[in-house]
Amino acid sequence: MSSADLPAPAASEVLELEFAAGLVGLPDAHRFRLAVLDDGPLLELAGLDSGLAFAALPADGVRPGMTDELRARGAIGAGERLLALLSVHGEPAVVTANLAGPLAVDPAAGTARQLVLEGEAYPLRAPVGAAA
Amino acid sequence: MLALTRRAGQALRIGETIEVQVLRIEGDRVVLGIAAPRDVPIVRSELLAEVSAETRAAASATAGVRRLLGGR
Repeated sequence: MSSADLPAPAASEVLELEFAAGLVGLPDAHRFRLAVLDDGPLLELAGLDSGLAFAALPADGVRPGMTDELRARGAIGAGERLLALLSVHGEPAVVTANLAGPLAVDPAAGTARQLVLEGEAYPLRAPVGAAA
Repeated sequence: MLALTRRAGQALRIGETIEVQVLRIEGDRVVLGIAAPRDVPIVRSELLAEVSAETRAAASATAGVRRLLGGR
């Protein structure tokens, strides 16, 4: 992934974000730094007011068109980009993306929030395939 | 907690903008219709708990993700 794919201004590879409401289940985690990890495609979301760190991918890389879907139904704004948090599950271990609880990031405002989405189209553990 | 009894087809309002209607009752399942402004999130409580647990799990998965995807 190039820096142009980041949910950030093209010239920036590090972005500080404020989650006013924290994350779901982690309400005290408000400030994070978003940066490219290992030269991409992974992103790292590192806590500035907590010891938390997440790996993430642009949600469209896991489910193409997801940003447009949510924008069309008014769930995210025109300036917001979607990220999916990644986990490891199963044996053998596989990487999964949480599409039920994606992050909506507004790079220009430096704000972000975590959504909770109903529906089979947005699984909690979507396998991360080669297309991501 | 407020407890109200409603029959199929009946509704209740929450504030001035949210209406919850009992559409039908199927055995031990109740099908609800909810009309609310688009900016009001409506999710099942168990989904909220699942997303919470998955978010917490993700906070300890970064090393594993890097190991599995790092070569891409």
